[in-house]
Amino acid sequence: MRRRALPFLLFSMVFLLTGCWDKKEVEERSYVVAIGLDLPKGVDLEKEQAVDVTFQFSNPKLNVKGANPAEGAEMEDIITLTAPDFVTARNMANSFVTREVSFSHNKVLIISEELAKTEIFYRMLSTAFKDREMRREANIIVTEGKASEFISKNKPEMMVRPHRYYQFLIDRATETGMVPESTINRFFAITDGDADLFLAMYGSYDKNNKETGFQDEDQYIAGQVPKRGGNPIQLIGSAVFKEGKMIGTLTGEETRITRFLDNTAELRDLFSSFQDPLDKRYKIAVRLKQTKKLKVKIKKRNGPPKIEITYPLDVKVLSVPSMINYADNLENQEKLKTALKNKLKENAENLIEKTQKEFKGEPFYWSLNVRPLFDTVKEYEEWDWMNKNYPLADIHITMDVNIVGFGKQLKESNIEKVRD
Amino acid sequence: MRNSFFKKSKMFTLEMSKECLDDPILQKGEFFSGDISLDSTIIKQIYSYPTNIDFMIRELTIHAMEQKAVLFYIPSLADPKLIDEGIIKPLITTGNVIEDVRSAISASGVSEEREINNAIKELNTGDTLLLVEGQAQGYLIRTSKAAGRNVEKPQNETTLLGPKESFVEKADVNISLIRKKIHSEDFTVEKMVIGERSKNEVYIIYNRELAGVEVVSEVKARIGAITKDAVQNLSLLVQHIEDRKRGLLPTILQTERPDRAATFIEDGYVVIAMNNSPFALVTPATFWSFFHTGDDHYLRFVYGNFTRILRILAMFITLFTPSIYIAITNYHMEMLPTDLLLAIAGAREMVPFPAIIELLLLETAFELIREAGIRVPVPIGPTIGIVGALILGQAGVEANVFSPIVVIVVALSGLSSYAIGDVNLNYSIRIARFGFLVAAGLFGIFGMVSCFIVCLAYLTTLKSFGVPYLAPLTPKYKSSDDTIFRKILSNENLRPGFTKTKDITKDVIRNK
Repeated sequence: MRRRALPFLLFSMVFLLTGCWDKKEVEERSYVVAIGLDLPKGVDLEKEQAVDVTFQFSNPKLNVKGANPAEGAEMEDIITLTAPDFVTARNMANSFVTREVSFSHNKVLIISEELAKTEIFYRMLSTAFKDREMRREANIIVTEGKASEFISKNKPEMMVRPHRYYQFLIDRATETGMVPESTINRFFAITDGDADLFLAMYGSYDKNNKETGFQDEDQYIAGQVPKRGGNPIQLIGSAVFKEGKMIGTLTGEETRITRFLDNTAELRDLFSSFQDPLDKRYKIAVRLKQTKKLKVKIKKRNGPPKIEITYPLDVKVLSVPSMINYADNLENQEKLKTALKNKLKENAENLIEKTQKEFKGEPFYWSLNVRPLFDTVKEYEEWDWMNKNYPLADIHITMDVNIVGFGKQLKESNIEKVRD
Repeated sequence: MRNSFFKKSKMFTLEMSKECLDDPILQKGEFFSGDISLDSTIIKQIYSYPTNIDFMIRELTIHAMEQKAVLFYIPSLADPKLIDEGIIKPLITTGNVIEDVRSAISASGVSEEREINNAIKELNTGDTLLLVEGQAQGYLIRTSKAAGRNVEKPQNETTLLGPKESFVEKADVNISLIRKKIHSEDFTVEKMVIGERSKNEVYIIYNRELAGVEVVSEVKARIGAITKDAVQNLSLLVQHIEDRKRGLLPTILQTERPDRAATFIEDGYVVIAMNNSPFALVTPATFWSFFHTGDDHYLRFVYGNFTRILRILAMFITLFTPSIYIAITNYHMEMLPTDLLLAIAGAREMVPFPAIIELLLLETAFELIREAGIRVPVPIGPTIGIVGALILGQAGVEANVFSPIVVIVVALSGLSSYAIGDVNLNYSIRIARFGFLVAAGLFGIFGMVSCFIVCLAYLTTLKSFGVPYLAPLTPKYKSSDDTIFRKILSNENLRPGFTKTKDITKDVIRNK
């Protein structure tokens, strides 16, 4: 018996000793749902590395019976401190947060525009890349103004839990296409690929009248949407990053087009309005959908390449305030289709021109279509898609627009009769 | 019993004085003498009559033969009505001259016996011994009728659409329950006697034309090798003949359904029955035979497979829910949805123990309730459920001893374990669960996976009567692939090859 027991004992001791004894129970951690990064005040970044880190914690107290969730929670939930980087800030935070700070449920990384435009930003973010707990599917939001204020001014009405707020806000905004999908993973994939522009969500908390007056529903950037009441936080448009540095912004409309022109992006629920071709006073509301993939044909030649793009879109007409019969009248339909085609083509061409001239790079991830043209990575890198070829490329767009429906009720009511 | 008695009495006599040499036992040891009074004295002594009240002697005179006769029987085993109507009445009332005693008795089974020893053996099983003056032999009449219950509904293996009868404690009834489903001359019942002292009878039932020779001889050899002087019933017999006596998993199936036993016999398995056991053993048993139930085939193809999916799911839920909970909350909290994580963290805020201790406590409590539920007298049975579930769960949570989510986890795994029908498999899975729990507590998912791999490796090394435990899944055998899922009946045309059956096809008879 003793002979048998000994190896068993040794065996189990090995197991006990190798066990993970540094484990922490769930309640022994504090979960960060949003990290904000700002440029610190009064620190010379040329001489010293520093960043203002804001943590927003999720409050599990909501679940404890008898505990009052509202009581004093807000102040404790958001903290800001100046640290060399946001990973080491975790331990610094423990000087007044009692539990281990965990990034494992972090949803967003909010970066002030000011910081995003500096060169140190990319270095700062590379810590996120290395940290084991940091989620790569966390989204990057660039905010006009300070990130700490973006977090603290955020007062979601219906949502109690901040992580839900961020989750839904991001999910919905990416579904409607007003903001791009901007995970940390994509940021690194695109930046390290060094051939495309990365788009991050653009947000703003500012309410003080930067409103530019009425425009079409998606031609705003964050902070300009005309609205009254509600949360001061807005998420529309995108911040453009080139080589890890922010260089400009795109409006909501431009972001939507970018996402249509990008085969790696998915859009679900996109409502848009266009001028009625038969009665210029009114606007036709449509729902746009891309069921086919965008085709990008790139021809290498001496000098700038020639690019042929087939841009497919399905259009569903949702409302026709001019009461013109499009559903039955094929002639009208044809006119509508041509008008839509022209408008969509014009928009896309304008955007492409803007990226070629202003940003000197494309945010559509077309380098994926360029790569197969080369046999070796070296050739491809030497050819230099972003800097040498794209800005000069000759781009042609062929539209492939289909009108797939006219809503639930096909016939327009007869306005003359109603007025009678 | 009898032998040792004789041995003792012989030893006794050696030391006795001369006066006792007249003792009839000493002189007439082995055979009936034909002298009733002498033989009765011997038998009376053997049964310590009249001290022993469970022994009856009826003396009578057969007028038709003008002879005295005497009847011996054990009233608690014999049927008094049959003795009255079938033996005493014809013998006393007949007017005709009796030449042959056998023809005068109207009971069904009569045999002659010259040796006292053998007669006693039969007497002990409830037969009646008739001695007639002047005949140096006894007549053994089958009158045995032990008390027992009738065929009732199965208690453990209930089905929705299957037959509603189950085995009882009488082997002959059990055999007839199986036999009535298989009308074949190949249906064979062999009897073996084990236990030097109590002479327990074991019946080995198989189909001569289907059962593999190896399995039958292996079963016989293992039963024959038992050296215990008493093996009361099958539950004890199992532990003498099973493969790994210390192993976690059962290797012999116990079923209380005659229809299942009959199905197994028709598939070439060997079934063992015994008196005093309301079930039968099926050998060899694979993992699948424990996992399956009667309903799998009685229900239609789709429904049957649906219940199988549910059961395999239940098995994994039982095995893994507590350990997954521990692994994820301790080591892999990034896997949880944030809301759930916060819910768990919030609920655990006031709980004094680490999650693993909390879970072990509640699991133990649940097992205790379960064990108590089996042992508790039936009238207060429901109380246990109420006390267990309500007081422990509700009050434990109210008092912040357990977090509600742990109650959910334990309840889920406990409830799912009830979906595993077989009692033995049920126990092994419930025990294995704790192994997974400890592994998860020490190493997280990594520990669970390692533990699972070890378990799978162990499963593949197991054998039941020479048949691999996971057959026919691995190793692959010719069979109808009735494992996790079943085929439609018309496609199940092969007997399982691992039983080494003599005829593997079910649709065409090949070996006749």
